[in-house]
Amino acid sequence: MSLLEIHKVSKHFGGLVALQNVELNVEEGKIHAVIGPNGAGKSTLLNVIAGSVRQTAGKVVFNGQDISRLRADRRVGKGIAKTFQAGVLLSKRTVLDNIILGCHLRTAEGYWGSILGSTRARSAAAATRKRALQIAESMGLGGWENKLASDLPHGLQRILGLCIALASAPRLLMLDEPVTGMNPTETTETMGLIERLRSQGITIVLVEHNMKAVMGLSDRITVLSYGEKIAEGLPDEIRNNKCVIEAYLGSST
Amino acid sequence: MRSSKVDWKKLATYGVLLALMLTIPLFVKNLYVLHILMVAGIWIILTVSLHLLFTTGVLSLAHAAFMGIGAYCSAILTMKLGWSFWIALPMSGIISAAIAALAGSIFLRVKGLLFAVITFAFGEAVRLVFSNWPGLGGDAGLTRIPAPDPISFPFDVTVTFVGKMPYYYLVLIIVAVSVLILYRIEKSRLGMVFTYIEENDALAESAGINVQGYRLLSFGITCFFAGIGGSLYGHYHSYLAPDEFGVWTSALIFLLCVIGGPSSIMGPVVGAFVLTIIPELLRGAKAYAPLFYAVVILLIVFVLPEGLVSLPKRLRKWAQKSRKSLESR
Amino acid sequence: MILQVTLNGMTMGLTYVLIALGFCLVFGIARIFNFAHGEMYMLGGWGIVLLFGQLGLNYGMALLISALSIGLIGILLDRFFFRPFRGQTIPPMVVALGLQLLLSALAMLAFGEKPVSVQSPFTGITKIGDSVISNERLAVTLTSIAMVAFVYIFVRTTKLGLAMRAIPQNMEGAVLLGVNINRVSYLAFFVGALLAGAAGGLLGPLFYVSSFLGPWAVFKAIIVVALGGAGSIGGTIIAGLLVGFVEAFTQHFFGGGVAEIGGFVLIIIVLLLRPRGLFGHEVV
Repeated sequence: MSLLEIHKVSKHFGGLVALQNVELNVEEGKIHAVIGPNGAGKSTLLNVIAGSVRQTAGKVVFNGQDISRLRADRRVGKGIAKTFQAGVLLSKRTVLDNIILGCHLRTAEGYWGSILGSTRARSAAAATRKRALQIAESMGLGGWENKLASDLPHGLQRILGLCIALASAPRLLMLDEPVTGMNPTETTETMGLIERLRSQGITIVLVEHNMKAVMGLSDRITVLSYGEKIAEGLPDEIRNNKCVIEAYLGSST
Repeated sequence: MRSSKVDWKKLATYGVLLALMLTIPLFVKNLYVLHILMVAGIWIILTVSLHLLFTTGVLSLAHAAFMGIGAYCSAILTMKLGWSFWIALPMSGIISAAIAALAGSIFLRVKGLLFAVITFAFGEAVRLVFSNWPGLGGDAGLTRIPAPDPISFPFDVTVTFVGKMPYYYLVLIIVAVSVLILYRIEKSRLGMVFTYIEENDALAESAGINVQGYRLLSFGITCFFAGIGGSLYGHYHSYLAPDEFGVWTSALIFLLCVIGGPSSIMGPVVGAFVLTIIPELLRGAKAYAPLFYAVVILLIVFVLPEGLVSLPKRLRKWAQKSRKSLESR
Repeated sequence: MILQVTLNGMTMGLTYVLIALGFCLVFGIARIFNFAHGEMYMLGGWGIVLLFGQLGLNYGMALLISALSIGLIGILLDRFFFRPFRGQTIPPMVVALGLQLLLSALAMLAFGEKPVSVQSPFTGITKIGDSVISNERLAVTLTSIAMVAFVYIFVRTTKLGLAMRAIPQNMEGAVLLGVNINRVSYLAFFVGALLAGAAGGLLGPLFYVSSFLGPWAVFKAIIVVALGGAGSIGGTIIAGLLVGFVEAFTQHFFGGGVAEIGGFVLIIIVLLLRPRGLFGHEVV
């Protein structure tokens, strides 16, 4: 079943064409990668799906519902979450506090109860803390909960970003270059985490430059170049696709 | 970090403070002192409410304008429509908040310092409305604004608002309640969401937070209290003029709010209090008073980056340091 | 008649531009809401009173020395009062408020609280078609045009000027390209204070000089910058002229009180339709 459908999406930034008539179908429960040389429009595509950037033309359909005009924060409520490329965290707060931010939509603590200091609100807050702790531990950040986000090594910061996105209990998780900047050990560990997420039923859209990770994880790959889709298919098909190879060789490294 | 436990020490301190403030009229007979305390009290409502807005990362320099809206509304409702003060008071807050929501829905699309610039222009526009709208008394303003209606208590006790004492308790109670509400909001999950927006609005949005909506909400709440403060102001002084709600008054409220310390609710309270008292103390210096005032402000910014509230802490550290250097000799 | 009003509008408009440019530059480059900017204008007036009125220097010389000195004061203010808080948002605003109070208090003590009028160095009038303009106003107008033009050309053609335009739009990008923020900040303060001080010296003979003009001047500057779009130099120039013209026209056709509102209604309408100003950049 297609969880996410992108129909003829274009995005123009003034004179610059970032995306042109892009079509995409992401099947539920699969890992679908979006790759391409620099400037291909991959991040823009993720932003359009997340809603932080409004498409110039085209439709975004999630779970059968047209969300093209839906505000970004409401898409999170529908079950779409996205990580950021780098360093987008609450740097002066602890790891746990960062994940608690991600729990915003799933917490039972109401505002009125919280303002009045009711016991129900307080126990809901405690439950949220517990959930955030569980997420941290399940993703390998156990023991780091009280450390400041800015004190974390780069690799763990990316994991923290992943935790925040997971905290909203998404059906569709978009990962913007999750392993870029990680060493081989961290990359392998993170790949394992991503596979585990798929086995838990989360659909994943993966934007990544690291070809090993892409080939190792993806069920399906879409290739963009200069804002247009130039190829799509199984990893093996893409690996040997002439257009894809040309697009990568043709672009300056 | 929000603690889920009740801080008994803090609660006790505030309780003692409140008790002190309640009993002051009994042993301070100088009515001028009561007047100063009330003036400071009204500023406290304004600075503490502005502080809530700052936690969202929104910088408004139009706070006095919303105070003015509340003040004029309350005056008109009681004078021209014959409403009771007790209804006009909350109404002024509501009207102020409503106008804030309307203006904010357009202006809050702009961030940070740029919003400050726009609120400056807006503040002046509001002052011009006060000056020129028919029926508001023009530049001379409104006079003979009625006192609050007498309240009847059981056992044949009636409080009439004549003389300073009843006003003192009125202001004290409203200030205490307002500060309590604003404090609870800041400490609650709603306050937490405000701080998320201030720290990283892109991340907050990705967690499902409607950033614009919450900014608007905080602006509305803040201006509600500004309106309340304005209403109190008008009925206490029984006189209103447009120039009292101009951009420089907004700048003053801003100053009072941040000089106490940007990071806590005591900051605005201390700031409002101290900076209302200081000009009184400086009266003796006559021509040099503005100079001393300016120097005090600059000293605080440079010497106490964490605001006035950090003064006791700083003094303690400095005392410790000088004791240590004496011992090591 | 129309020409007369236009000329009046132009004179005031140019003055607003001169004052507003300083606020715009410091706001866009150092990200400071400089409440104290108006005091530079105020000091400019006293500079002329001292150098031209009392010491008897040639007016042009007095204006030059006064403006340059005030430009220098601008740099000193940045170096000692604002630089320690570089990068922060609220503390520089408090510093600016403190400086506004300090400078006006010092001026009051040094020069007194009474306004002072300055003898006009240019006497006589010039006829342009049907209209008449005093030579004083003509001199003010021409000098203002020259200064604004100079700044505009500088900002468009030189490397430093480019930096001054780039930083408000994208500070991180500018830093990455090797722009020295501190140095450009000094320049912004220098130019801004100089222009405001010059404006004060130019307008002194036309109206009067007083220690209390600071708040009025910075107020006008903020309104102009809000209208034109913070950080945009071209926007400030156009907005300043616009405000000047609108004020002159409403003053002429409707008289006193309405004139104040007329200009303002326009500004608020623009801001409601386009909160970032006519040529502004930042928007959510």
